[in-house]
Amino acid sequence: MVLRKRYPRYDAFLDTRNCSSRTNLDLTLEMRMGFRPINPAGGANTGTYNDYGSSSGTPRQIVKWTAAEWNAWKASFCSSAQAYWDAKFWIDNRQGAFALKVGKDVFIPNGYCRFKLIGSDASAGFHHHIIDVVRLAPSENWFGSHSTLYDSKDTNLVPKAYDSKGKPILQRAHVHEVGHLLGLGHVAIGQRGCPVTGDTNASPCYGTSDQDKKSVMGGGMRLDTIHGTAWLGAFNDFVAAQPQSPIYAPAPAKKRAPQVLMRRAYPRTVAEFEAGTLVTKLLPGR
Amino acid sequence: MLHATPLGRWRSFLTIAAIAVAGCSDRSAAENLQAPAAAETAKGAPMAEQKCENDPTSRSLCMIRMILDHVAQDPDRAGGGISEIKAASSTSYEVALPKEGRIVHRTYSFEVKEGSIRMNAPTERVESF
Repeated sequence: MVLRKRYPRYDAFLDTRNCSSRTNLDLTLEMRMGFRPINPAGGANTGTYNDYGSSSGTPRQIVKWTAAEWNAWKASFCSSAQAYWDAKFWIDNRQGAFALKVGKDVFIPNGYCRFKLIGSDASAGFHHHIIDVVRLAPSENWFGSHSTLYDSKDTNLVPKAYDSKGKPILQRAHVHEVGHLLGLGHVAIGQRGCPVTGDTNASPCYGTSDQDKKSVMGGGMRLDTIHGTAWLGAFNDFVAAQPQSPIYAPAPAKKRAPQVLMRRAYPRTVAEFEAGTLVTKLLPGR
Repeated sequence: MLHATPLGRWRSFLTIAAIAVAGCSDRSAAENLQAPAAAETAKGAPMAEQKCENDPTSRSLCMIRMILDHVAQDPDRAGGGISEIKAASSTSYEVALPKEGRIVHRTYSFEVKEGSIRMNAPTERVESF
């Protein structure tokens, strides 16, 4: 069974075809990004482009994209961002949904969270997001990007913050931006200096503690279970849309809210499910 | 008023300012660099103090030097550098610090006393893009 649900930011697929006593269902978020190259004005090989694409932004030196560089950058962006977000989370299926029979036994799979990033030129096809991209000159080491304007060096690992000991906290900006495209906000929203309502771009929103600053939605590269929220939301939507299973329908008292895990949890038997056991190691014979 | 455009002119000015200000303070550059972080206090409280000559140019240079020292020690200094320093009054400056997706506009205010300048904790507003 393959289910599909469309969201504005991505499409979600729930695939039970490979499910077994050892293999979970795949829950894949597929994001299509359309990229537009920004080149120097007038067909020149070099020129300038202002930070944020704003007339008041600082001009930065840019270089005309070649076809080879453009294609290589798109491929690098997509492969590295996909690798960062793919296969990092599992959904603990505490609803008992999507049960399957293996011989005489019934198993309840968890969700294996996959991420597929498909990038192409914005000029053709359907895209969830359209992004302009400038190619910075070699002399430039920074550009004022925003959610729909990236630069060619956004895939580089660079300091984005400093910890309490003055050590740099490094981040590849594009994985942070893809986090936003998955619907994630900054790490410290709701904390002091970063109100939930209003502009959540203030400096405190990126974290004031070392712990928060090192989050991918701060200035670092660390993933936490909160970052699996998009998969969790999709899983809950799929469960809500499912008719009652003829294989296994747990009593309401046995159901709990699904949770994001950052370690693999294998499919459970009904007994394991009802006992609330998390199977993180496969027993012999399973 | 100092402005970042053209950038080269601004960089040249900062270099000159840094050299000039070194002569108007009774503290070493290393001491100045440590001052803002070491003196982090409650909002509005004095953060650093320097002795300065009383003429307007010396005062401006002292204030800008203290601002630069504070930015250098700022744990949030990562980003696109300084794009603008602008006098908001004779005792305050607005500094633009571009970051990803936003510009942090920081206002530094100073208390001027005979022969010395005291910097208060800066305030910030964010311009998002």
